[in-house]
Amino acid sequence: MSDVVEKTLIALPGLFDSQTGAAKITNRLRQLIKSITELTSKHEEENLIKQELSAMKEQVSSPNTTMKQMREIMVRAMYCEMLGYDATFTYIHAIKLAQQGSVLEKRVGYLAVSLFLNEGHELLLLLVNTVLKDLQSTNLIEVCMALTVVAQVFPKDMIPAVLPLVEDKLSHPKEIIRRKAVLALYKFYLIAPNQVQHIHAKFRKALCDKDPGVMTSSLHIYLQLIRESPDGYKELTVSFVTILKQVVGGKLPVDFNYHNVPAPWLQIQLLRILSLLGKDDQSTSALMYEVLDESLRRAEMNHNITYAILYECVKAVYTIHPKAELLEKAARCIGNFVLSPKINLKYLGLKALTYVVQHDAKLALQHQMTIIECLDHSDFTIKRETLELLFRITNAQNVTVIVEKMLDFLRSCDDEHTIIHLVGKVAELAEKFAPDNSWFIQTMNEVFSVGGDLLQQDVPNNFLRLLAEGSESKEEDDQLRLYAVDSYLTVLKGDASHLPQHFLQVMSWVLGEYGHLQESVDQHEVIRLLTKLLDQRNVSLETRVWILSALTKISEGHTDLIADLAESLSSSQDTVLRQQAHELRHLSRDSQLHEGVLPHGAPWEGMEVDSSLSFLDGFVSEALAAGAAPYKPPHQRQEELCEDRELNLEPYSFSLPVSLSSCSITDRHSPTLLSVSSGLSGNSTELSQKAGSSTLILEGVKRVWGKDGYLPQKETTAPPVDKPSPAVQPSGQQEASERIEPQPEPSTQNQDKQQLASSLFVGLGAGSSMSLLGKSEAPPPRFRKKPRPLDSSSSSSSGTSERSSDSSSRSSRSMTDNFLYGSLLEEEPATSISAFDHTPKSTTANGLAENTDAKEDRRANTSQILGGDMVIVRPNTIQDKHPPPASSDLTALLPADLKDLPHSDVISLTSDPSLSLCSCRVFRDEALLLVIFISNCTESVIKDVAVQLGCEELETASLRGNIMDSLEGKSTSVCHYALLMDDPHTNVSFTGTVCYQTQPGHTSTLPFSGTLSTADFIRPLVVTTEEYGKLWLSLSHDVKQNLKLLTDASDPLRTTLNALKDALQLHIVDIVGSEGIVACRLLSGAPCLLHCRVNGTALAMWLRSPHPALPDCILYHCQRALAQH
Amino acid sequence: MMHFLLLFSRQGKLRLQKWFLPLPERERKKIVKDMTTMVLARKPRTCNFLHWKDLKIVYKRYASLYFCCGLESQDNELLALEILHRYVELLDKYFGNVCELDIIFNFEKAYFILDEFLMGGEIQETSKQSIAKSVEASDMLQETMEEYMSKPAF
Repeated sequence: MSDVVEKTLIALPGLFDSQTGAAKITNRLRQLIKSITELTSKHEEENLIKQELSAMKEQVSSPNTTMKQMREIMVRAMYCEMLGYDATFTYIHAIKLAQQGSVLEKRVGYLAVSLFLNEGHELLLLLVNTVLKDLQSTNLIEVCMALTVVAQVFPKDMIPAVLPLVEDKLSHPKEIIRRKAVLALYKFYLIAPNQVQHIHAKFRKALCDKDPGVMTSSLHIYLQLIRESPDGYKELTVSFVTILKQVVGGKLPVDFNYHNVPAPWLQIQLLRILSLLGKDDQSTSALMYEVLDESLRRAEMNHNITYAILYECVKAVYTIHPKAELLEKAARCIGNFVLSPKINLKYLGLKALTYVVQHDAKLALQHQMTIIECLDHSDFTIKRETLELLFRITNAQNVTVIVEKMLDFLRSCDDEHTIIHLVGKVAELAEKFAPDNSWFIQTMNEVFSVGGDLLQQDVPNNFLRLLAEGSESKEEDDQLRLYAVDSYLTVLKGDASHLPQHFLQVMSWVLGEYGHLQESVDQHEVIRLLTKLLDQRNVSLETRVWILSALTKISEGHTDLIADLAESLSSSQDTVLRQQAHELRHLSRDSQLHEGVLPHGAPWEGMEVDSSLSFLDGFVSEALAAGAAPYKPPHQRQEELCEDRELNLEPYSFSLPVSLSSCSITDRHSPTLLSVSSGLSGNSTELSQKAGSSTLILEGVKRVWGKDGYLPQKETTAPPVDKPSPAVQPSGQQEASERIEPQPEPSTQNQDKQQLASSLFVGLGAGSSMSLLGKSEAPPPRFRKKPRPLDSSSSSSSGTSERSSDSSSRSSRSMTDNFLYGSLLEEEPATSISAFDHTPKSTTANGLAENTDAKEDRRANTSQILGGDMVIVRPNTIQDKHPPPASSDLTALLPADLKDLPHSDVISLTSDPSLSLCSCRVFRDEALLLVIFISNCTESVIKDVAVQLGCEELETASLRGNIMDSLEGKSTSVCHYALLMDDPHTNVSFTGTVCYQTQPGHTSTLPFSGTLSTADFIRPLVVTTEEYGKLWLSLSHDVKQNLKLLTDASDPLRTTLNALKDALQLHIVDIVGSEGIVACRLLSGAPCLLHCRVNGTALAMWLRSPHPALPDCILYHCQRALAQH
Repeated sequence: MMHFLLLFSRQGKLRLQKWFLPLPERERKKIVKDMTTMVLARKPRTCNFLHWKDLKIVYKRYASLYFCCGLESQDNELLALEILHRYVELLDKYFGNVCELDIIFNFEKAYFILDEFLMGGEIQETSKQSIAKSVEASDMLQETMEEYMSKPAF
């Protein structure tokens, strides 16, 4: 492959004497390197470098050192740093060299800077001016160097300084400069996407650049953009396909060839982009079938680079909407990879298979023998990749074999990342497909022992939750638990000194909780085993707490065994341990109390947790009577402190990053992580804080309680899966294995392999034969985790008044989704439309009678928007061609449940002689409701009216009334759409059609369209100043801009903010002096915080949001709102 | 996107390091150490790929020198091998029959070539001719600075 290799030793002797070509060696460096290679020990090297560095230090500080000498010193400094020695003192001189040197010295200076200074190094600031100067230089080399260094080391906050100059370079006459500029902008995009948002149009120019190199560079940006939102770039598909066609067809200059393959890097980039664009999109995919076919066909040369292209092709074919013919070709390609004698190709083939079996598990069958060979391959990487593949094809029938293989691998593996990674997978498989209890527990034992303390905490947590929550049948659960207890007792009776902490914790919890299930074993024995663990030196403090709490649970009636232990530990240094020991002592003495606190038998049923701590009432009233100050919750204290202070940034500085959801939950009276024992330990929260993971587990336990005690389980467990017997094989699978393996002589080894194959690939053939065009469904897991109890049920026990007011602000993203497809669809069906036809009187009567209660509720919920008596809000950004008709009476037709929500005016959408359409936007907290009024203008009945509405940028869901059998003459019907905006867009347009029949068999279609703005989707975010401060710190994307200040009023800031509030439904959190803070959010999703300060005649606005594009959108609307004011 | 590129000798001595993402010094040292131990421990006739944390490691040995780079999970391993190969070809063209000693004694040149080839962890230029041209254009300054200033660069 390479004519470069194996020359070193031959070249060695000659090199010191002859300096060939450009390879000139500066003398000092040469000496240094030479003497280092002659040294024999690390110690000597250290001494030598130390001498060298001090000599350099002297030289750089001498005023007589010329730039040329400096350059030579810098090269030596780089060498020392590469060897791992510190040459910090030269950093500043590197910058100086870049600043003052001639071009050649500059080059070394810049190189040194990019090697020495990391992003974020403070000295980098000194470089900005130099870079600015060089970017404007007429010398191309200087410009190139500056662009290189900018892309290499410039941090986020220094980008604005150079951005305009880099942007200018996009139209530089030299293509190398344009290319570097595009790549620099790509780098900027990666670290600060907001800052380059405005140059998207220029990216497109780069994409159309006449130089293919510049175009190639711009594809990096496009790949990133398309990965983030493929929908926005669908129209470019044709262009990308055309480019790829040209490249594949060899239309590019030969310069771009690599080993006779035309522009492979470009091809691969395009294939990736196309696969992103074609994913789940049939029409877009159809555009690229031809070129993919062509690529598959053309890439036939036997060279790594063509295989790289093929691999991307195969991935693309399997990612986009499937086409049978292409899939077949791609499958053949994968076959070539897998069967290749070249190990790199085999590896890639396995990777491709891993990717592909998710779509078509049958492919794995074809290659089963190869897979089995790879499983025993001497190469670690290949083995690991094979296991990854097996993980994907695991089902209930082959799980035992596959898990066994994975565990075998794990036992011989010493790379901790691999262990963590694979152990999690084993646990996942075991949980999903376990054939029986004993296997499951044994496997998990292995997982805990092999995984050791590297194990991620969620593995034991999930396992314990599974044990604790169980399934529907108590009998089955108890069997599983019993098995676990038995198994752990056996383990503990052996040598337990080497067991990992996680495993010990799991065991002690299970023994504590379920030890009593095993009647044949004396509890004395269990206690003895656990106590023995406490004596072991390698048991961590955390584990000791676990063990003690287990002992507490089973100690009842065994005071004699416990007393000594409790006594000795009550004087422990560790407070948590000490507290546990005290609890243990008390409980073991008082069996009645023990029964009350830790009942066993029917666990947890009827257990009341007094989260309001009412049993302390007596204590509190006594204290109050004795003159203690009444308790104030922390936020109240904070508010009082802030009250008379000026608004400043101080509260921002002390908090941890807090997500919106956690800061809006103000249910402070009920510690959500109440541990079993803390009911008894009173208000000590120390236990739950310190014994970090013990609370985690106990949380799992607690979930089983609701307000009304034990939560009944609704779901059913999967039917037990039969263990596969080798005799009974799906016939199709057997056929496949026979077909694939031509065997001249069945040696015993081969038989072994075949047997392995049949056990590994069982269940793949028959079940998934139809899955060529779709994913096969996953079999039902054996242990199904219960859905977590809803938030409301777990916190309802405390019943605080705060909840109702901020319930909407708490709803997270997932709830938004639920909302779209769940709750709203449950509303009244569409049949009630006729109630709205021209008898308004009866409608209102009905509405009032039926919905008074509901209205009360809604008013409470939507009070944030209502903000007083304002019912009609007019985000003034709707651009509508149609003049508003005299249709105010239409608002009367709004369904009663929407009438009290803030809504816009009714505007006309479109009309024809028979129908006229109007719309009204209703602002709900979680969505924008688009209410469409369909009025029949004729006297006759219109039949089969169907409304369709679509919008690319928004999620839409029809709620009711979009299909009607008939619409009476001169009547109006109403239909609703809920619109959700996930990614902010300044303006979005929706289009739709109404189909109807005036006469039977004669369908007319009436199209309509309209525009919505972000302002329609902005909702106020009600937070306190303190919450605002916390949130502010946790948000990452920020944008600053100066806006116009409305100066004509006495209080310009307040006037301006009110104007913005009216236009955009913002929530003004606080205004103090010349600063104001305002908060809003995109529906119930991403928040956006605005910090405004009066700065002369301008309003300096600083926006922050977790969403990169939201601040820009809001800023845009603020500007518009103020301009129109 | 490539995260880093390392060149080290069979003895585990670092010859060149390029980091495309900002990493603290300690992390860099750890990566260099991990890479050298992992790669040097590989047996002959194994594949050229490894996993390290969530990165894919692609390495190749050319004579006594190992070229090793860290990639993101969506990158193409074979393509990365070809990137390494192209870099070797570029070095070869520049030094004329490159060997480890060329790179030891002229490591800054190796960096300059790399900067013309990769930028921000992505390929910037694949043509051997163009890269050689731009590196030589800068090198020319060494002899005739004044002469050079009066005429346009490449």
